[in-house]
Amino acid sequence: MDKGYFNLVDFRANGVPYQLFVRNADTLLHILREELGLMSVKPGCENGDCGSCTVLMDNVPVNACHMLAVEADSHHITTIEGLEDTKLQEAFIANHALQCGYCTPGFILNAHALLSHHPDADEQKINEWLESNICRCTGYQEIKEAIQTVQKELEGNG
Amino acid sequence: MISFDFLYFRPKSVHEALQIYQDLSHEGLQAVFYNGGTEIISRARAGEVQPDAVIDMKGIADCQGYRDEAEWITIGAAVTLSNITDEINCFPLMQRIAKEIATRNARNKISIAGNVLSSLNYREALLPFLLTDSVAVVAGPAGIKEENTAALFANGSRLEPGKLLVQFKTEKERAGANYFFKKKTKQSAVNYPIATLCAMKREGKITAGFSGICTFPFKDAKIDRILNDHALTISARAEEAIAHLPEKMVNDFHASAGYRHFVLEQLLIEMLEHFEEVS
Repeated sequence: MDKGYFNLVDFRANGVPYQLFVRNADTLLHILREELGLMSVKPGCENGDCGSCTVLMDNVPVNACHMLAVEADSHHITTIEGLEDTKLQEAFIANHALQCGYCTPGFILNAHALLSHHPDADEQKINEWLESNICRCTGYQEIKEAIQTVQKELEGNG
Repeated sequence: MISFDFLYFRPKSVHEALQIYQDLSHEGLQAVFYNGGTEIISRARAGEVQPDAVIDMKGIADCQGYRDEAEWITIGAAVTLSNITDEINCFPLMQRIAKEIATRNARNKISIAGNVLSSLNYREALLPFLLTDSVAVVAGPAGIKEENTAALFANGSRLEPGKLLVQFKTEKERAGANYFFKKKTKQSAVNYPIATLCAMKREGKITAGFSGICTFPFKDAKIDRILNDHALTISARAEEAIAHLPEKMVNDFHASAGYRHFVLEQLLIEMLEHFEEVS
């Protein structure tokens, strides 16, 4: 093993600190799944087009397939395993916003970040953020409705 | 999965980045400067590029951030397209174009330098810098130089190996000018353009930028003269402008050259009518 091709990376995933010796050429997608066992981060196109591997880096959605693991150094990564019993997850179930579920973690993480950055996002903003994620078995309308349900609840609580 | 190994460096300054590049070159190793890195990852995974080393520019303060000073705005080369759409309100054409490149997730990673120096034909983020006669700050073995963006990237040129794009500087008054922008894709909203046309009008003169119709993005002084020739009708100006493109129209699976001609003609007419109405 040539150590020049590896680097020590220090980051948090779902609040847990990790120090890993990673191959420079490995993507964050690979490390999250194969080293940390976070299997919700789904490989899809592995070309940054489908959004199934969406994770949050410092609460910003990124495609884990388009990020080297070494770039995660000093950052906070959130996967769906890091969200527990959120209103958004409940709303996805209540609004039938999933079918096979493969794309769902990516959609929920993206929507979670959207609502934390823009709680009053209008339809245009929701569409802009959701264009990053592709679903091939249900419609996008139910997903939008799930997000809007949570927005209404947040407004009601505000 | 990327099937080969490479070295990874994260310099803290432009000088250090250039030194690393030079040292690697002396050892016979090929290095690439890496900002967002999305294209490098995609092409490395596909086996289209195989660098020996990547030099990550995100730790360099000069390449990061956006400064809004008295008469100039400065945009670091590693600034992401999402940073632009969310923050750089005094450059509305830049914001509008950035918003139509790739998806939101991708824009959270794609940098200005990555788009401008892309190996693809489109490089739409270059257009606002061309139209505003922006200055590109480029570092190389001979030091840091300020170069005219239009001259630097004329006829599809990219930077010479070993040179590094640090920043773009744009005059604020030009960045805020009245603009027109339309991007036409084959089918979905998120795609490469069949034709992108943007234009700005300053001091009564229109200047236009094009992407998707030739193998590189461009603005052209001859075309601008035609677009501003009020002795011609709007339709004649559009047709004459198309006759003076710098190379043959692209003919590919996104659109035939004939269809691109049709789309571009409609866009030019729409743009000219827009500015006639505004004035």
